[in-house]
Amino acid sequence: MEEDLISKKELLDTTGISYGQLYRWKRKNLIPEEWFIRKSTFTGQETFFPRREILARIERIKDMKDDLSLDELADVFSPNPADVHLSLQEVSKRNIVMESLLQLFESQHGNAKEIDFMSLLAMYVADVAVRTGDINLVEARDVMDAVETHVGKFHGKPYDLVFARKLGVGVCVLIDSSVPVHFDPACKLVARIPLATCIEQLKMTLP
Amino acid sequence: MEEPARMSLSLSGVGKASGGCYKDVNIEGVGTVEGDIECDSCMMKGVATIHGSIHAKTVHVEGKTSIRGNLACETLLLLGQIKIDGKCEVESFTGTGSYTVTDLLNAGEIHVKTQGLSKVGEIGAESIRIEKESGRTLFSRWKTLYVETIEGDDIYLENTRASVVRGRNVVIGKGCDVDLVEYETLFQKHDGSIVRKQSKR
Repeated sequence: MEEDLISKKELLDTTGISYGQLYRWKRKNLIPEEWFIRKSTFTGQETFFPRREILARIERIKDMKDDLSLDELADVFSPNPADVHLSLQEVSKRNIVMESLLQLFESQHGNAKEIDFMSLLAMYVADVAVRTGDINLVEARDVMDAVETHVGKFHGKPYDLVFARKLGVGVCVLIDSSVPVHFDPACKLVARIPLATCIEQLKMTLP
Repeated sequence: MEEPARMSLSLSGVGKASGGCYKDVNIEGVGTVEGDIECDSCMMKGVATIHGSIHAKTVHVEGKTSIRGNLACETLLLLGQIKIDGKCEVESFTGTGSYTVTDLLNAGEIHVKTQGLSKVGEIGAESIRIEKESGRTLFSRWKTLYVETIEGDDIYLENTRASVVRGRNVVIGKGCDVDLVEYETLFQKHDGSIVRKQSKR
């Protein structure tokens, strides 16, 4: 998979930010280290970025930097879980995930009083996958289970949820975002959802 | 869970300690630390060797310090020699001396006087002011910074050998040798310095 890259110079030209700002945001961990891709060109070493991700991120930073401090912004973008506990009622009131997933969660966990970030993320990821129509509610349970069980082991590394189906049976895998996955021909890749994006979106909906 | 109160590390004379979370770290004499350090203030006088990374609020170097890892802090004050084998991320870097950073030196503000041979892989900062240490010293022959690329908003350089310098305002002072300058608003050059190519963005 050849990624669509943007050079540093082009990035600064299109977004109108300066070198200083770019380095400051990198220092504050608003832009992940992995996005700085060094390549040799005929003019020497140059730095490139994944085009779609970096442009979206810089727009977001520019939008939000007047309301939030850079450190607060870093929390929004960091893949680490936020420290939140919400009750089931609150989650349902805020309309973070669809009602049927919430019921599914309730049926599995009994009447849990509070939902922490990990469980919320699990539901959110399942919600994303169900909404696109890629998976059904039964498979959503597997997704929730997988995310909830393993998300604590990622230690801030970017992971993707990969959902594949063979002969009608769905399998879900959590895998490092930078790693490609290949299946046998009978197996169909249904969805690949970056958890980092989900975490970021989820944090935005939270207080 | 409450975090236990942090202890301070103090090494005087010849000593060795392990890394970890400290309140303050104070090394005088010849000190070696095995492992990463996380602390508030880190004061190193004499010869200090850190086999790991430092994450601190303030770092103060007097004498000779080598860090076999990365350095991340808010303020770095240098009086002497520092060598960092990884990258260096600081808000403000000031002082006089010789500095070597293998990877990227990423700073908010850099205001240093080069004394002795200095080498940096790459510099990225908001404001950069690199001057030559005035006055005569034993090592006055080598007061040059060697760097691959410098990128920043406001750049002033003296005694610097660089391949590429990119910035909004670029002022090349005395004793520089730069292959390529790319500037946005302002470009000035001292007569004695060499700039092989310059272009306005």
